Amino acid sequence: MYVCAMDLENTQSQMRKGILEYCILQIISQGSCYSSDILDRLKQAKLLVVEGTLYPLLTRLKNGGLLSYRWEESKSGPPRKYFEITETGAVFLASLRSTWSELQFAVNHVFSITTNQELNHTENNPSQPNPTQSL
Amino acid sequence: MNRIISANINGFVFQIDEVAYDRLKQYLESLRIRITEKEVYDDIENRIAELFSHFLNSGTPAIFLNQVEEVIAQVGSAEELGDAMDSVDREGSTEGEGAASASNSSKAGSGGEHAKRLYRNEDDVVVYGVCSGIASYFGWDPVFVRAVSGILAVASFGTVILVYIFLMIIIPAASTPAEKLQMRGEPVNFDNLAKVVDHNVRSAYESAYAKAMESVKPRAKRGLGKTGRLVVKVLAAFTLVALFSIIVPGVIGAVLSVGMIAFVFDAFYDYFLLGYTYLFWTILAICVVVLVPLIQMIYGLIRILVNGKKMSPFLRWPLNVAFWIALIFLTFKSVEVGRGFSSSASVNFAKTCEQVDSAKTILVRTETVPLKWEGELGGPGREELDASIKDIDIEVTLNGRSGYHGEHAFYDLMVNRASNDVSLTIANTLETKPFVTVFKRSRGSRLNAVSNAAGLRYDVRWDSTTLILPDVLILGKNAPWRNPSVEVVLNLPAGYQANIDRSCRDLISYVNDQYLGLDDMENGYARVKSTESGVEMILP
Repeated sequence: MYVCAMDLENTQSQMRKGILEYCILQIISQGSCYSSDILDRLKQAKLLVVEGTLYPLLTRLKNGGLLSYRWEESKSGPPRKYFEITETGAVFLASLRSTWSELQFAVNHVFSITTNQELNHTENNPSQPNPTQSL
Repeated sequence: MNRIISANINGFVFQIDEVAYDRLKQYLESLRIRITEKEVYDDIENRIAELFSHFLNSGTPAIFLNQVEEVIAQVGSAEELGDAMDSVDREGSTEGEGAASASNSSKAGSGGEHAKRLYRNEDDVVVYGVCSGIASYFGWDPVFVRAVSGILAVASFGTVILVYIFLMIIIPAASTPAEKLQMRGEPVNFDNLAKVVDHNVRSAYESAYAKAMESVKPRAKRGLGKTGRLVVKVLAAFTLVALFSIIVPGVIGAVLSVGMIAFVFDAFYDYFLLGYTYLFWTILAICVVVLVPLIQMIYGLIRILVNGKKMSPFLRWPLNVAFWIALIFLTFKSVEVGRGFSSSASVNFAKTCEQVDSAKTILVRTETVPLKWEGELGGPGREELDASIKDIDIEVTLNGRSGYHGEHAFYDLMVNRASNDVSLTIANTLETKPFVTVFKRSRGSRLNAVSNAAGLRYDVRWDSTTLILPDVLILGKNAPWRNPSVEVVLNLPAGYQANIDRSCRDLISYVNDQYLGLDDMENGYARVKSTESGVEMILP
């Protein structure tokens, strides 16, 4: 059971992280922004639990040449790092988008088969609420 | 009541409550251990500063503990972020090498061994904590490292002590808690500490730190394991036996031989025994420098065997202080001795032979200087010393070629101490009368080399046409021995001849690469003649 829990955690964090990188690139591709903007968007989408997780990812993307940044003074606080997507980053993002739609299709497809089977089960047992009705 | 203090994150200055400051500092330190990439750490610090600036802009006069907690919750604890960093590391290696990812992730998972650094451990000190620092770095028992370096120090004749001093200078001491944790490479969980900190930051900080230290100590022992500890104990016992059977007698032997050298080698003897009141202190300092590390080593070894207590600071500190004072004293002493030999000086005088005859022949002979013995039991008389006087080292130089014979002979315990480092050179001159020049030479410090040379007593005299040379030079009662020597130069005008008496026969051993024994001397003389072009031997 313990091993199972570990695997679950790992899989979840792997899934989340891949999607996080995709989303960060997506946010930055819409125009240069600094970490606070990115954090706000990600938190609205409930993708982030703690803010600190963002920074290793940003640094990784920057080191990978997908992002660049410049320093800007702030009137009210410390100076801010404004991130921009590079050309490599844009190409990278484009291929991520296509991968994402492929994955979306794949996942939806797999789920639709599963839910159809579930539908068949629930038809035999009408007291159970139908999960697809809420969608 | 708490103080409000000023703090600064990457140039952003703000006011913060003291308790909140301690909590923040702890949090940042825990982050610094977990987040090895400086850029990421700086970004997070910057984000914290930014969140603070929001609080301050919304009207709060300073940052308080609840706001720090809020920020920590928002940014994430070291644990949460450390996991994020680990996954980044893991991901990075998967891209690069693929197969290596498994080993890499396990390494990252064990809590950042890459953050381990070499520090001196000032919490476990015998001399300066170098050994225990090294032990922490490799996860060994510090006593084991100390024992090994102690043995090496003796076996390498002190070279390891110099290495130790060098390491002491270049390895920094672990002074902050973060450094102390880095020293051990310990992934200490600061978040657990923080729970305690909420109640009472200061005391909790200390007790948590003490707790962290406690949790580290058994770890070092666990690292050795049961067999390891047994091996260490056996080694310690073996070393103790070796110490008492080999090294201690060795040290005593070394001290005795140094004492012997002091009596045999005049520089030591004169330096220590003649007019120098520091003799007692010098011997004491040598004993301290040798014995203090030995005592500490033996104490450490016994401690391993019986799991004894650490040496009390009341004993340890005086020992350390005495060791360093003695070492400094000896260093100054060595410099002083060295300076006593640093300069050389030469003082000369000339005596002309006034009564030249038509034969134009000079006779050179030696004369025995009466030496007085000062020893309580009388000692050997001058006659008894004659045997060694015969070995007198008078050097004769002809046309730049020289030969010598015999050994140095010193008569130390006599009132007039003497050296037989006397040489004779025959040269030619443009003057009309033969004359002798005596060069008295001695070493000494810059200030007293000349007076040392002038103080040497060596009186040559002419008796008609005979040049009489004392067989030894005399130093005077309390004059220090500074490598004294005398060179006698007999200057002969062209046409003159010198007959060197058999009393000097041991001196003329090689002339023009030819061995001249007694049999080679014609009528008991070695004959040298001076011509316009130089001097030459008259061979039989």
